[in-house]
Formats: sequence, C-alpha cells, structure tokens
Amino acid sequence: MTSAVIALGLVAIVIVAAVTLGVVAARANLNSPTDFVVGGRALGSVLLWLLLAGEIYTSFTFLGAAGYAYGLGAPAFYILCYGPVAYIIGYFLTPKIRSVGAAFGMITQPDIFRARYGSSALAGLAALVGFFFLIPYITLQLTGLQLLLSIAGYGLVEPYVAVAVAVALITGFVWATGLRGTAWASVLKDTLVLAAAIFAGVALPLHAAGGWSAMLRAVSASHPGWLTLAPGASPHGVAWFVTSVLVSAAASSCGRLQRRRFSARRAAMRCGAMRYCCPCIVFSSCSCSSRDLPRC
Amino acid sequence: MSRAKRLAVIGLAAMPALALTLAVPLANRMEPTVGGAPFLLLWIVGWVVATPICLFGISKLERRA
Repeated sequence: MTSAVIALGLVAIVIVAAVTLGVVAARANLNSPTDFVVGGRALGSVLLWLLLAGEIYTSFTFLGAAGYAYGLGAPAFYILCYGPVAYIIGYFLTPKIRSVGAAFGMITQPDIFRARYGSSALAGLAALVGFFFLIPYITLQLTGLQLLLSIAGYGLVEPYVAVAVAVALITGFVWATGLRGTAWASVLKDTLVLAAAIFAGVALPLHAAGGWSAMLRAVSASHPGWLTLAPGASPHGVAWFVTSVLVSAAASSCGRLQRRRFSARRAAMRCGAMRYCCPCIVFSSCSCSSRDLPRC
Repeated sequence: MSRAKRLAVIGLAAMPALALTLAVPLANRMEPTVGGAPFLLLWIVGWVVATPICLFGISKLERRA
C-alpha cells in the first residue's frame, strides 16, 4: 500500500511538472494553426533535437526493447541499427520537407500530397492511411502505458481506469498546449528517460552479475549463440535482421515523424483551418519547424 | 559542390548506412570480444557512434561548398 502510494505519488509529481512546463512554455503564442501544430515553424535546434529525441524514447524503450533483448538476445540489436540509418535519410530529406512546407504553408502530411499532386482525394487518402495505420501503434503504446501504471500502482489502480485517465490527460495536454508544449514536456521526459536508462544500464548489470563484462560473459556461457544472429533465413536470423533494419529505417525516416499520432490528431481537430484529421502532423511539424537544420 | 566533395558526401552517408544494414551478416560473430561484448555488438555500437560523426563531416563539407 505505502509503496504504491509512493510510486504513484512520484508519477503524479512528474505529470504535474511536465504539464506545468508545457503550459508555461506554450502560453505565449497559440494564435494560428501554424503556431499550434508546427510551433510557428520556429523551434530552435535544441528544442527540435529534444522533440525528435522524444520521438524515439517511448514506453517501447523500456518495455518492448528490454523484453525483446531478454526474450531473443542479439535480434534486439536491430533497434540500435535502424535509428542511425533513419537519421542519415532524415538528414537529407528533412531540410527539403521543411523548406517546401514553409514555402507552401503546409502543416500536415496530406498537405504535401495535395500540393504536389493537386488532388484533395489523394490527400484525404493519405490522411486515412496515416490514421488507420497508427491505430496499432497507439494500441502498443497504451498497452505499455497500462503495464507501467499497473506496476507503479502495485495493482492498486485498475489498469483500464489508469489508461483512461492517462489518455484524457495526454489529449487535454496537447489540446491546450500544441506542439511547443509537447516539445517542452519532452525536455523533462527525455532527461528522466535518459537518467533512468543510464541507471538501469549501469546498476542492473552491476547488481545482477557484477558488471557489464561479467554479465555478457555469463550470458554467453549460459546461452551460447545468444549474442550473435542465427544464420541465413532462420527465424530472427541474419536475413530477418537486415530486412527489419531496412524496413524500420525507411518507415522511421518518413513515418516515425508521424509518431505523436494521438495527440496530434486532437490538435488537428481543434484547428478549424485544418481540413484533415491527420495523425501525421508531427511528420511535418518536426520537419517544418526545423528552422536551424542544415540546408542541402 | 565539386565532384570530389559530392563523392565524399555520398561516401560518408553510405558508409554507416551500409555498415548497419547489408554489412551486418559479415560482422555476425562472437570473436574478437572486448570485455565480454561480442564482435557483433561492438560493430553495431561503433557505427552508432560513428554515424553522427559522419553526418557532422557531411555538414562541414556542405557548408564550405
């Protein structure tokens, strides 16, 4: 009971701090859809960097990736690989999207389709595809959230209640603060996630095995072959690995940018000027607000 | 941008991208290990660290061009 109260109290403190940060940061300028959705296209390098970093640190970082490594071993290394590959593509692609977005006043991904192909039907289709294919992603994230909350609450809180409250909070927060608020909340979140990741990465091996080397040696002694990939086309083998990295990198460099789906969709609804309830706003938001990215 | 610079940019971008995708099968082995870490992990972590350095090199080249 007391542990649950302490853990949930900490969760509440973090939420209150993040919301306060976001509200204070966003309060100044939310006058137009552009301000709301793409931060007035004026996010500086540091804030943009944090926003993009926030895109990769999700509940998957702690639950999915860790569980994958625990359950499968070396195949989990693909998570390390696809990020850099996606960023290499993004390095060349993002500034172009940013300048086109600014030139034509685009704020969502379907805007790009409409402007480029002159077809509102195609833009609508892009919005629909983006919307439906983000549903599994939202489900995944909410499942992670539900797990985290029920563990933090030591079973004190009904998981469905916890997740409903969280969804209401997230939606309300984005509704009230737009992209800039989300970016500032990322400042707090990323700091905490990094601190937790470093702590877990150092403390757990020390605690469990006496250090990184000892842990890796113990793993390869107890599970031979666990730290390398199975050959060829075997399940989770080399062929699976390479194709997974390629697909994930391609999807991330175009699609990752659509991540804040949920929130973003609501943001779109609020902005009357936006024609499509596009869950892909962050795609253009990241790119369009990247004032300081190098030009190609 | 000169032809040499363009080639350098392509090379710097392609190197980490290929190392983390198509070249992974070549790095898929245990030995040599450093501090218990298998060569595969060292290869991947090394290229993860090298990627921003390559991108930094590209941005330098592009800025001067």
